[in-house]
Amino acid sequence: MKKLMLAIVGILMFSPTVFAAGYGEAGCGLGSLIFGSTPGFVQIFAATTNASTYSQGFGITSGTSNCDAKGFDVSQVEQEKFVAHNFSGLAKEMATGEGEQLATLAGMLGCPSVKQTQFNATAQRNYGAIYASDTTSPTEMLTAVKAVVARDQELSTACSSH
Amino acid sequence: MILVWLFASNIFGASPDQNAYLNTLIKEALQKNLPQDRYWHLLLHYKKTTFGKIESQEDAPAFFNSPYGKSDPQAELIATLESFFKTSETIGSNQSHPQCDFAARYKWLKSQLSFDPAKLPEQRCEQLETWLKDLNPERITLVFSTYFMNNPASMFGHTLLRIDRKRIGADQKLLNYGVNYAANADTTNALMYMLKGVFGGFKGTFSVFPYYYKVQQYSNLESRDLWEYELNFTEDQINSLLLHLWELGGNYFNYYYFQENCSYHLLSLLEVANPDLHLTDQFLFQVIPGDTVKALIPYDTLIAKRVYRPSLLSQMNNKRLQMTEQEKEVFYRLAKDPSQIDKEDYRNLSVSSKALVLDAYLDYAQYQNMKKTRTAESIDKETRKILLERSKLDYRRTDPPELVPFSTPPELGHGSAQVRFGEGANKKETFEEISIRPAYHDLLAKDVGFGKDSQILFLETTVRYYNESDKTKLERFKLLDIVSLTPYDPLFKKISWRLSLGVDTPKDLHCGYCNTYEGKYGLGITYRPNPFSSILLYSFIDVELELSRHLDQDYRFGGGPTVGTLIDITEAWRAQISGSYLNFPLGDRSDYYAVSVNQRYALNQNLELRAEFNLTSGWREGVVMVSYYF
Repeated sequence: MKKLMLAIVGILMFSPTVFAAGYGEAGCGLGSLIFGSTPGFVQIFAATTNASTYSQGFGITSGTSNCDAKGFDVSQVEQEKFVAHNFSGLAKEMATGEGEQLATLAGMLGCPSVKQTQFNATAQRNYGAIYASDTTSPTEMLTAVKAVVARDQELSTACSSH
Repeated sequence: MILVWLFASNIFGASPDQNAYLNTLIKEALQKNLPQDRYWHLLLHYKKTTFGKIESQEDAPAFFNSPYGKSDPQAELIATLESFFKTSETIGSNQSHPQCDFAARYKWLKSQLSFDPAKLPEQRCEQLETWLKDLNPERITLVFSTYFMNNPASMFGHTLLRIDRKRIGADQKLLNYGVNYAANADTTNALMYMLKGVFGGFKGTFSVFPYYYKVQQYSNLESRDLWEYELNFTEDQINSLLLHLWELGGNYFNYYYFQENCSYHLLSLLEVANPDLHLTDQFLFQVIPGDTVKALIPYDTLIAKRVYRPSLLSQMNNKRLQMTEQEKEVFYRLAKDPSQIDKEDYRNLSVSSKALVLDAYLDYAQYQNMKKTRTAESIDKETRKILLERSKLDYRRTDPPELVPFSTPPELGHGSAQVRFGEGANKKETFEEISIRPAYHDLLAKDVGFGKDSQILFLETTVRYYNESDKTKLERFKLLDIVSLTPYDPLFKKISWRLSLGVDTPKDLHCGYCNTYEGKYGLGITYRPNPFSSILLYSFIDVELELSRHLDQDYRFGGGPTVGTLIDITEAWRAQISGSYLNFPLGDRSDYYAVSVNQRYALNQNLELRAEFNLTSGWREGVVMVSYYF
């Protein structure tokens, strides 16, 4: 009965605007089924996944392994994926000189957590060189970060970026 | 039955010894009554159907070894034991072995029956080993994603699991893995989507992602706060959970929005980790994500820690809370026009003020950017300029104030279903009232654990017995009633809206408590002085259609304004005052005004007293109620 009622409600709604979420999949429960954030409009979170950046398959989409006290041994691909996914957040955190995404990046580049503050300050100081232009891509940004770390005497020995 | 397994258990290509050992195992399993063991039922997701039959909720044929597996636990157990004896020749070279495909079953049956590796060779499962090694689990965390900016669409929330990995520091949580269960929608047609979602037309599958994907989606893009519940499981229990996840990974359940949804099957994973947890049995009708968090609460030692992860906008709002009026002024100007950064107002601020304003602006810009591009892999010119300016400030706050949560954890909220008993009187007589609703939350209720300033009522039915007239009457039926009050914010000028569909008893008709079918839709503006103030003012303009044979021409269509306020007098005591005027120029031409004063006093999480007083053109009534949530 309840299901039927809900279906009726759906039919009564007009102007469905189908909205494809760039992230993830259909949500949960009645809400995501019928109402989006636009007042009075039907809005649907469709599970559209862009296979090039986003794998829906089971198993692991990207991983880090072999952690040791020095930090992580992370492949270039995984670093790039992380940086691409957190591009604007990392820009903000580098400019402000702190944050979780920045700490995670430091770890991925093999910097031990005792060097976090140093890493943050260095990234902030060199922000203009890391996010060099309007068209800086995530990969270019990553290369620039590594160059900055390599130029810093203390960090270059402490971090072992791969 | 015994005859059946004697015939059934001759494995193709196996030695007589192996056949003999298989039969020994089967016999022992039946003696121990393993097919009826709770754990076997958890692993195979067997549930009693409404007709009392046992059936697995799993819908993928590959999940079963026996053709009767979906409804016959014993046949499935026998076939599973049998499959463990397969050799690589019989399963094909690029096929994985059943011992690996059904790793959790293998683990459990092995522990119950003490397999002899000489007679039942144990297979290497390289893929599975690699997967487990990559996950490197240390802890399981349940993550609850809240509503977003009072948007009812996300009022029900969402849950996922997180696999916390060993040797990943507290500040590296983003590199953990999220486990999500969701419907794979294969249609973009809204109506089809709805029907399929409700009737189980989609396949629901598990997926594993780096947690930062999910944080990006919920925390940043949709800007919903996350509540993370770190759970206490032993290493062996976590191993069982992951082995079972591996079994489920390639398979699917039909996805039902109300019952077998994102939250439900996560609970079943937790039960496999620790079968002493009885989590899924208590949900008969609907599974609401917030309720699934509540299901964990009775197990005292299960939740080790609760962590609040503020969304992007909550982070921004925390910064706004710290601002002086002057800083706010500059911030709003900047949000409207980033080039204001070159103006005196900003230039004259102290370094710490500049940093605060820019940090809040950057949260705002990131949110807008994500809304626009959905991935935020590029940064626009204006924002770039501000980022550069901020990086030159070289200022980091040494003593950041304690974060103020902008949402409340779901387990503190009232139950999602409600029953209400009332005693009332109108101009003519007294009446008793009973009201039942399966879901979910109304404006007068305490909003701890729920989206603030919003209401969703679903199938609320209210019946009255009038003592003098000796009549039982349907007072109200709300098929659906949604109110979303979004307080005015200079940054986000979002409009409030409400919608209701159902049956009502219009008090202005004086037709002996007759009913009308009623649909109403309104837009409005809400004002709250600050996010934590105890008073809220709202206003709406509604359009309304009523259908009834008691109306001239059987209908009336019109609308009108409403103004109202919600006041929290104390934490437990809330009052709502509202006044409306409605005019119907079409159909039965009429008009009326209505004033109502409602109060709620919460005695505890699930019990409250209410008093309502309504005044409508030529009509007065009052009701005193007790409401209980469950």
